[in-house]
Amino acid sequence: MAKKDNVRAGQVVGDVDAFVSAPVHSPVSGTVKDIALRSHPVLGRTMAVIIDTDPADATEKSPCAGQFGADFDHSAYSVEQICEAVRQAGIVGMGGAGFPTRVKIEPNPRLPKRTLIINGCECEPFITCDYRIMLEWTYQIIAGVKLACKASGCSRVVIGIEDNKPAAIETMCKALEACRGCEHIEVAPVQTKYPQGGERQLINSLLKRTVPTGGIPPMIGICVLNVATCAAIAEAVVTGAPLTHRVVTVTGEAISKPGNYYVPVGMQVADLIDHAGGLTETAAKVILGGPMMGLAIADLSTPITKTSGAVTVLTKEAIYKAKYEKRQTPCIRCGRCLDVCPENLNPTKIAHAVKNNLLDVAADYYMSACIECGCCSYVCPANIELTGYIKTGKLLVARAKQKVPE
Amino acid sequence: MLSKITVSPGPHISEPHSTRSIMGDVIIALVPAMFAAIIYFRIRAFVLIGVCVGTCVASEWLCNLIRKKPNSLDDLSAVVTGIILAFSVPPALPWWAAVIGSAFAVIIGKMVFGGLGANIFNPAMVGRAFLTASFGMLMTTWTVPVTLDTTMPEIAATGRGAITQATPLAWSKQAIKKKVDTKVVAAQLDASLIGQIGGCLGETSSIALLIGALYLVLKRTINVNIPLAVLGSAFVVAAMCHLINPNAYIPPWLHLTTGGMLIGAFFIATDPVTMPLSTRGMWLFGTGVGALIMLIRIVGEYPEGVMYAILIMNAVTPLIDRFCKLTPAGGVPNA
Amino acid sequence: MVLANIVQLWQDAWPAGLTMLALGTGFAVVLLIASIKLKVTVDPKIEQVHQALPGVDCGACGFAGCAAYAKAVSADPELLGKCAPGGAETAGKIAQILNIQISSSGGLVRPIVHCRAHTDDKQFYAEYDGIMTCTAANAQPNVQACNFGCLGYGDCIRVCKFDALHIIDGLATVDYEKCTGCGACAKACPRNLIEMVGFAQENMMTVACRNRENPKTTRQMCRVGCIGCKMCEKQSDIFKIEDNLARLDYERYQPSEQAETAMSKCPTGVIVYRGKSAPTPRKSAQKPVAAKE
Repeated sequence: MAKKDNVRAGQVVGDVDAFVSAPVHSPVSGTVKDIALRSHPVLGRTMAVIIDTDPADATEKSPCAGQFGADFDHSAYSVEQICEAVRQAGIVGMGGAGFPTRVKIEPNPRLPKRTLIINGCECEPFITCDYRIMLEWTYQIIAGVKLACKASGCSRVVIGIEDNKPAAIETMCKALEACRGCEHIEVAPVQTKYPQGGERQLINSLLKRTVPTGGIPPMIGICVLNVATCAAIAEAVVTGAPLTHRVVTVTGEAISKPGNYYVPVGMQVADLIDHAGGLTETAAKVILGGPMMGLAIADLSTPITKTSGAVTVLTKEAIYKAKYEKRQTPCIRCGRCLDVCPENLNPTKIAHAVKNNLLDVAADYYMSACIECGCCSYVCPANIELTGYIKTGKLLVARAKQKVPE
Repeated sequence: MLSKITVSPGPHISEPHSTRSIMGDVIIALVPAMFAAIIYFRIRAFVLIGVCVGTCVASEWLCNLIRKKPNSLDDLSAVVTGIILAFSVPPALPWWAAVIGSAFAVIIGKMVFGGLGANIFNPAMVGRAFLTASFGMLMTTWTVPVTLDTTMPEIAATGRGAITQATPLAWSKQAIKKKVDTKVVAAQLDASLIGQIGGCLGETSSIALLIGALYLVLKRTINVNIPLAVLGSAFVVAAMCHLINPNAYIPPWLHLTTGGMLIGAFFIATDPVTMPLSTRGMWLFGTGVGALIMLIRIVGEYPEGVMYAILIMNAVTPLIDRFCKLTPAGGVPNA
Repeated sequence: MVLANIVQLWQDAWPAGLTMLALGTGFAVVLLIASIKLKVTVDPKIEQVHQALPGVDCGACGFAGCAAYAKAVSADPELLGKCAPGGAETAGKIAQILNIQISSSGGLVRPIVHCRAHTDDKQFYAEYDGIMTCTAANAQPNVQACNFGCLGYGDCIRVCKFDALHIIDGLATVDYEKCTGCGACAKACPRNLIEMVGFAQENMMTVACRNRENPKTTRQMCRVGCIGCKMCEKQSDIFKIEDNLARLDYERYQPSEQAETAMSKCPTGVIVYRGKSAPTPRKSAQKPVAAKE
């Protein structure tokens, strides 16, 4: 890629050879304006390809759910074909973590997979993008599930859907009945309780099994895929189209027209917000992701990434109605954070150890097992940013391990 | 407009409660018992509650002033300490003793440790222990509620004429040596439910306390594990004694409704600062409190054991926390 | 009468006295045996070395405090000179105690903060509202527009045992009079802005910036950011531009006419002196950054 190069929609604009990686494709046709540092929600500033859209080629990509029906036959595709198509299309986990899907579904002789879990739980409150695609892209998702199941060699598929989405459960069940060869796929309603969409929590609720601390689901023979990822797999394998667009929930009190939008990856958050009617006067925080684990962004030119399921814009009231004068008061040891911790940790102990720079004590209370769901900060009556301290502690531990560059 | 946006690590929303709202809930829950106290002891209740709360608040303000710390009165914890201390002293306690007790409770019981959250012992119980040690006579002189016409001659105590009366527990202590009269037991139980009985200011009316406790449990302000453990273990111990010798030991339900048992189980042992963090720890703590109360009541020299039981278990809390260290949901790594 | 009392006392007291005597003797014997059997020989030199050390337990030597370092250096003279706060003086004392020769040490090593942006110089997109430490804030992308510069939440200040670092108007500033060069601040900075530099001179020239953005973006982000204009490179060969950022080769730095010219010609004033008697840096020619619309 160089400046002034022409790019077509779907052309690869970035790739690396590393195993745990995925290529990036241009969602639009146009010319490369610049290759420079740009804001990124996680990495801060990172190299980016800036493409000027070609006004002549303004054909917009639209969802391809119409191509899929109950008669989809996955036997036409071999395991290698599926894996290669997924790799070529640059598909990563679209729930939030963004782990390359090819690595997940590829058969691995050391860690054979037996059960495929499809995550139909929204990862956070406020977000509805997975719900919408389950209703609208039902057959595409089922096609993706079948392909992923074949590629990973799983014998059983469980689709976990939260019980506050009866319409999605019903639609999914009906579609499965209509499809052939879906006997090994079941839909399981799970309790609506954040963080149900976390893979460790979902595995526990569906199969009553626990992923070891510090371990990953394949260690117990499980592969977890998001419904949006399944839809992307189906699209990539059948049409060969790369992952360049995704459904994003634009929500929050400070958005004029909240809703679910099908947007190109790389679109600036500011443009998406404008499209959704713009911010209202009361907007106080723009979050890429949901209100619990989302990343507050300072620079609205930050792009939507493959993993951004939502843009949440909160008002000052939404942020602070709970916070008593915004002030942190001493821990009263009420133990609420222990009650809500999905990983059964002791957040107050860890946070205070980090605060006092006692990283060994924090490690002793299993700081590394924290999934940073934010439940402890949410319930803390003393308004202590427990999750923030634990995240800081993890960063300090990581830093202590690496050498200071001379 | 963009300059107004803020960034911070998640979560970006939180539950609408605070230390202040929790303490506020406790105060609301203590209101029924306060009403009962005012009905039974009239002006004495007013004076004691007022003096205790006033002194606690003033002491905390003074400590913050001396330590040059930001004012912490708005968390309302001093008010709670004041009310609970007032509830756990005899109605006839002179006002100056209440001042000394309250000041000791807040200054030595809480502020020298670094304020709310850092204290080892429940401040109100520290204050009461200090008063018991210093003014033993005053702390065991029980006034008869003004609404009570002395219909229970058996328990009318000697010494201070008609205005004082032994508490049911003091009477039960004697019963160990003499004999339990079932009629008296029934009368006592009725009396202790509504509070028509001698005792500490706020401890007499079981029904008023239970209404408050129900509010706290429904609002999830207190963790229900501790009261259950305290009452459960106390009941079991009392029931065993009663079964062994019903003539010497009063029935278990009377133990639960009299003395500081209810206020202790629902309002004092559940003080978040001095209770263990984990659920397992809470059960251990509560069971310990209940068993110690019964041990003191039945075997010990004191008729009442709630205060010492809670203080002893407060001291053990760090040990319980260490003992009940949580295991991560995914198991201990590399083990 | 008195005598009778004394006799009485003696008769009452002698068993007690005898018991005490026996007990005392018994314990003394136990202690005597223990002190012989369980004797730990401590090398008196280690104690002397420990006495010679500054005793601040800063950890700059890489050991857990002065006592640990004293033990280590007594066993391995190679470790001599690791004590940054004590410097050459302490190293000399230790060498004397251990009776070893020391090689002549080089210049002092001192930290340089590679940023000169005060709050007014920087551009902010949003207000930071989280835990007030650099490590926490740095995890928040674009917490200030420049993702390279000093955050000013003072992680370096908190680790400094010598009160030699202060946040002055949003910028970590080293007090070279107090600094002992222990390097704790360099380890603490999450943006790796603090570099330990060998001070050949009392004052060192430095490019106080780490921003590698393209020049236009840098200008928008910060009034005193390096824009990689190559002006300094033209004046003196100790400067080198890489990734839109000038770097100064500290090894080759000598006070010179060319370096001075480079400094005065720098359009953003990012080349400054750092050290004990460093002059106040001149104001940047740039206008203050405008708030983003």
